[in-house]
Amino acid sequence: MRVEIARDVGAADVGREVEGLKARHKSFEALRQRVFVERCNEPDAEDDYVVWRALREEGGALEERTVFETPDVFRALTPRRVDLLEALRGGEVPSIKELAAKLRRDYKNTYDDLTALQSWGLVDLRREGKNQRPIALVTSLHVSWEK
Amino acid sequence: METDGLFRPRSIPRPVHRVVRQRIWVRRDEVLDAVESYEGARRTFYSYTYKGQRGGAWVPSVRWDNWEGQDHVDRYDETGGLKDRTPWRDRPLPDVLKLVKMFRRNLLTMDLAGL
Repeated sequence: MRVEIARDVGAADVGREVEGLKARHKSFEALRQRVFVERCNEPDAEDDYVVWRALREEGGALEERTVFETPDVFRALTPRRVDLLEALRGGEVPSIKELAAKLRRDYKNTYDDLTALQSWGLVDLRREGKNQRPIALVTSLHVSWEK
Repeated sequence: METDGLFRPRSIPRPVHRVVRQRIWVRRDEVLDAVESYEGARRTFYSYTYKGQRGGAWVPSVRWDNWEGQDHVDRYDETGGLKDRTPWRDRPLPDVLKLVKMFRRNLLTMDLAGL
């Protein structure tokens, strides 16, 4: 069984990606120095370099996919959590509190469900001042079986 | 128009640089992270990194890639430090995924160049 999740990476996502790269490596030059001069041999640093180099180029693009080769993911995708994903896909929500209010749900349960989805890479919780903004990392979900 | 590879006529645009990043969950605490970079239709870079979760962090165990144009496979110790590197014949992601699903942590003790 295979569950494939695709995510459209728009301009705002690219901006967030670059902010994340800057937070991890300070600058593109610093990262280049680390992987080519210092030869850090760190997989994540080398992959970040490849992604950042593409995003710096005019027309450079990033595509993201998450694939589950394990049925364990269905433990994360309970009906209530799928509702959360759907609500997040329906429009940006500035905080968990507002999402809970929108769905008429308890804050703690909403938070717990979001962190469960986050642990599978389906949601990102971005710190914005005092709040955490929940962002769905899912555009489409496709389930299939190999022959 | 044919070129000898030494110059690129201005009328031909530069191929668009596209990166495809995938996280493939093999089990709850094991993933294969794939990054593939394309210029036009040509794949110019690939890396497939098999990672396990330890203490809340993803630690690499085995990585197949063509960093600096050399196809090779790296193995890492339990802290994520590079342990050994051997040459490797470029194979597509589905083949590497099959190896990971079949051998999982045993990959750390196998002759990877021979697979």
